Amino acid sequence: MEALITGLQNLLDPQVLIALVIGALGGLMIGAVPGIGPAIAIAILLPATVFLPDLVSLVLLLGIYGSSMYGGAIPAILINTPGTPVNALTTYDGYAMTRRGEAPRALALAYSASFFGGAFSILTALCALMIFGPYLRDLGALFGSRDIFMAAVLGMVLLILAHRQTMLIAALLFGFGMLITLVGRQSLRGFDRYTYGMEELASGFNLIVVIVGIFALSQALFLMMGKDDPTKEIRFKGGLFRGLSELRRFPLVTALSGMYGTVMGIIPGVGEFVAQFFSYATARGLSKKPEQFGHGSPEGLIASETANNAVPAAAMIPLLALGVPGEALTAMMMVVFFDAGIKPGPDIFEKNPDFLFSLFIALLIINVLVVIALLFSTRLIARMIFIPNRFLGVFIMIFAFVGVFSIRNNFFDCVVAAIFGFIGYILRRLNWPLVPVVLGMVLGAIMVERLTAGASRIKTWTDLVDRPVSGTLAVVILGVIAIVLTSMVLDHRKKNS
Amino acid sequence: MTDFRSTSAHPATDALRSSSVGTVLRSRAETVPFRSHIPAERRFNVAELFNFTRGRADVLFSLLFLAAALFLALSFIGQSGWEDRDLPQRRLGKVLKQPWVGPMMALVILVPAALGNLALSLRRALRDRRKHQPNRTLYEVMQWIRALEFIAYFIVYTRSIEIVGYLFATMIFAVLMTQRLGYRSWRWAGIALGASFVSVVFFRTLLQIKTPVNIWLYNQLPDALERFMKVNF
Repeated sequence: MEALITGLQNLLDPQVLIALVIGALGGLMIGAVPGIGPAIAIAILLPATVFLPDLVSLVLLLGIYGSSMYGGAIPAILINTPGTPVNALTTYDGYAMTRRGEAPRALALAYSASFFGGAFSILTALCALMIFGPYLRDLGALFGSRDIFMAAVLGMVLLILAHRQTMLIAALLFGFGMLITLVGRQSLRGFDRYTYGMEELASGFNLIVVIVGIFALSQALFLMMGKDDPTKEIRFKGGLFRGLSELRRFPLVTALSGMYGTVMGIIPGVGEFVAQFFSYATARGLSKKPEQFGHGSPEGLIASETANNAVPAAAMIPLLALGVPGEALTAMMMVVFFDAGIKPGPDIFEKNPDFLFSLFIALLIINVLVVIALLFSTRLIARMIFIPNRFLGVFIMIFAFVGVFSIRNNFFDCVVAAIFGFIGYILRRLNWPLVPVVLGMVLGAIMVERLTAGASRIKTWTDLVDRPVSGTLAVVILGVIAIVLTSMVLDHRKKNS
Repeated sequence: MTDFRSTSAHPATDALRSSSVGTVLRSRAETVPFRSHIPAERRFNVAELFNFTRGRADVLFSLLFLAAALFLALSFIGQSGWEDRDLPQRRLGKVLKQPWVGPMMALVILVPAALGNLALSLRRALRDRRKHQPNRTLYEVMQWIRALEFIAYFIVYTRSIEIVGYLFATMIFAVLMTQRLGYRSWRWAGIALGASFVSVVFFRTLLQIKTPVNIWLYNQLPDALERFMKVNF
């Protein structure tokens, strides 16, 4: 309880409050503009966070993460174009409702469902922290270097397996990211790895520079090389307040979708898409009008929006508890933790419990702020949908420079970002995933660092898995691989027969 | 990720423009509830997010990636500390502390995956060839090369900051780029100028994010103005 109160007090800092508002509103607008998305916005803002206090930085990024999906629902519902990729399923029913002239109802349902999803997972996390907090403090003692190494290996395996159709590509990009992070001088022996005699590479590739290049610059190139969509201003009539209470008519779908989002969010590498599909399929199975799904079913819209907004808070759990980010956005947040000198992982429950409470309460406040803002400014935000793509590309490039240069005041970093931007652009054009590169850098660094730290206690390979936690994680890794391989073999046989 | 807009927004606005309801929307926007007239069959296909199809030039890029992976693997001996390796028996921990262990772990993932990926890509390309599907590798490579133009502009922009300063370089870059991309009216030039000024004020003046300080143009200014410009822009 003391940690909860301190956590609340932390949020009363004016800088944190400003970050809350900027993050929430910024995320909302970024989500509403198809073509940007939270990953690019966070990549651009990441360098700025180096100069801000740790809680302010994280609240700012959480604001963007937590609110972008609300904004993404607006173009999904109004013009059949998801603002962020995870709003894709919302177009099925949200847009169909708009075609029937029920745009305000669809928007209100999406907002209330998103709010429920967000609040559900945040409150679940907060309750878990309050109930299990005292026990979790002892968790740190159970997690040694070898255990965290195995947790990172689990993260890698889940990431690769989650890219079901592109596993080999995900693996090779993960390996590439891991190798990038190892370039430079190894601190233990002072050996320059993969520098090819270049002095500039001795300090290695900066993670933020690579992230800005591969996410932001590549997207800028992608937008500038593409075409603008001819657009027209959209206006709609009708208040949004009335639709908010409609959510109460579908308690089962709402609760189940919230649960799916929370559970799927906790599993690294799974995320919003799978959560949405599970909840959408379940909602259709339970519905009295399954034929309406895809044709403007309020239950379909609720299932999609509740599940995807329940993920952000849940995705913070593996990051905070194990120090293992599950996808790009939490990997970027990990960078802020590194800069702040806070090591996410089991120790955090003992050393910074108030910090955890601050983060989750901030996320809850962000959800409230966003809904209030949306009720009064949806029409205004809807106008942002129509900023031309290529014009956006120019400004993403401008912002990218600020991000890259400010890290080390180094022109070489700008060239590095440009190279990674070009690689990212090709990856985007070929439909190859970008996330494994970043997670390869983050998880790869954790794997090597923890393996080195725990090396003195390793005499044989079995020492890697002879602890309770590392042993359990090894079994989980093998189990997950076995399940996925079996299902792939079964799928293959089914296809052939 | 899939280019979402290309799948839906064109027909949306075309339909809106041509339909009679679109006219009503424009003239009586305050009284008529919004009804979109994008045909339902144009709807966004979520399944596309999960269906991966190898695009044009996939083989070429897979090959380039494998070449890079093999180059890194061949450099392993000289660039990872392998030459100074110490492999004591029964002391695995001592081995794991050595600098070559990390790169070896990465290469163990990277090289086989790159090989397997090229094999899959080739198999797909051969299948397409048997079906007489058009091979548009050259077109795709030209798209990659065209993107280098914008990379060059980015590099020129970053270098020009040391000459004319962050504020002027950004404003000039924004205006020239919008011109280059085809927004050639005074209105767009004004929007670009305004937006670039706001972004400089936000990042440099308010957030005090570091940008180059030894600026040729600022050095020519009177002392007070030079200080002001260096601190704020």
